[in-house]
Amino acid sequence: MGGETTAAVRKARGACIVDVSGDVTSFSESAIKGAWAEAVATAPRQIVLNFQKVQYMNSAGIAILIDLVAEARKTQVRVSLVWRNEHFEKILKMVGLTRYLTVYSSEAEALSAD
Amino acid sequence: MGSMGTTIELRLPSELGYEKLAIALAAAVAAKMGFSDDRIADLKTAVGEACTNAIVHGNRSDSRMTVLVVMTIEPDRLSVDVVDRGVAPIPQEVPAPCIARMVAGEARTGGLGMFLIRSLVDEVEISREPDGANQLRMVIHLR
Repeated sequence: MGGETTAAVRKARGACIVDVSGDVTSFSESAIKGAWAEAVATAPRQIVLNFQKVQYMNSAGIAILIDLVAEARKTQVRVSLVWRNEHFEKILKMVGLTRYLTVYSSEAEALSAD
Repeated sequence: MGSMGTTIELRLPSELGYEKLAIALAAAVAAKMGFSDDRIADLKTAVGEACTNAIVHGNRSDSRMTVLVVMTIEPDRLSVDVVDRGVAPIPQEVPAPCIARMVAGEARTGGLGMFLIRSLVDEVEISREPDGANQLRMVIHLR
């Protein structure tokens, strides 16, 4: 039922941006982790997850983010999230993920913080 | 919108994706009742998690089973009951997720759904019917 996830990789200012759209749920794992692996293979110093076009995320989606953060720590890549969505930023703070993943309101902010 | 104790029922196939119908209906009802956008967003997440758990755990994603969602409108609150067939019981207590251990790869990334439900609504009640069905009741108060 609707909301298929797409994830595409592009480069900007030495970082890799993973543009995600649609829903982020258990169905998203393959698309997002596939794009993540593609981004990591380019050995960037930073990966920015761009969720500006994500409409809905559930706890399975949060679990995917946790997995990516865990991966980033192993490979020592800085990871950040771009998502101007007060509700989901609150959710991520509630589960404690914002201690490990900084959330920015724009891509420019995320890239400037590097 | 409805007088005291008006109920709206929805029966979902036990297939992931259909929880979005319950989410949309809960949001529409809450908006009509005058809840704020923030509270509606909280309710949407909680209802989504409850229905997902019912589909996946309560009904084991068995398409022969359905999830019943009953919304009860009262002057000062909205209750949403999610009922599944109870193949797996809903745990009464779920430990708070330990993100540090999950990020370190030392713990499974599970239990987040129930944690979110309990954090986002005003009341949560879990019960098991005599026929084994699980019922999860979520209540938000209209302040």
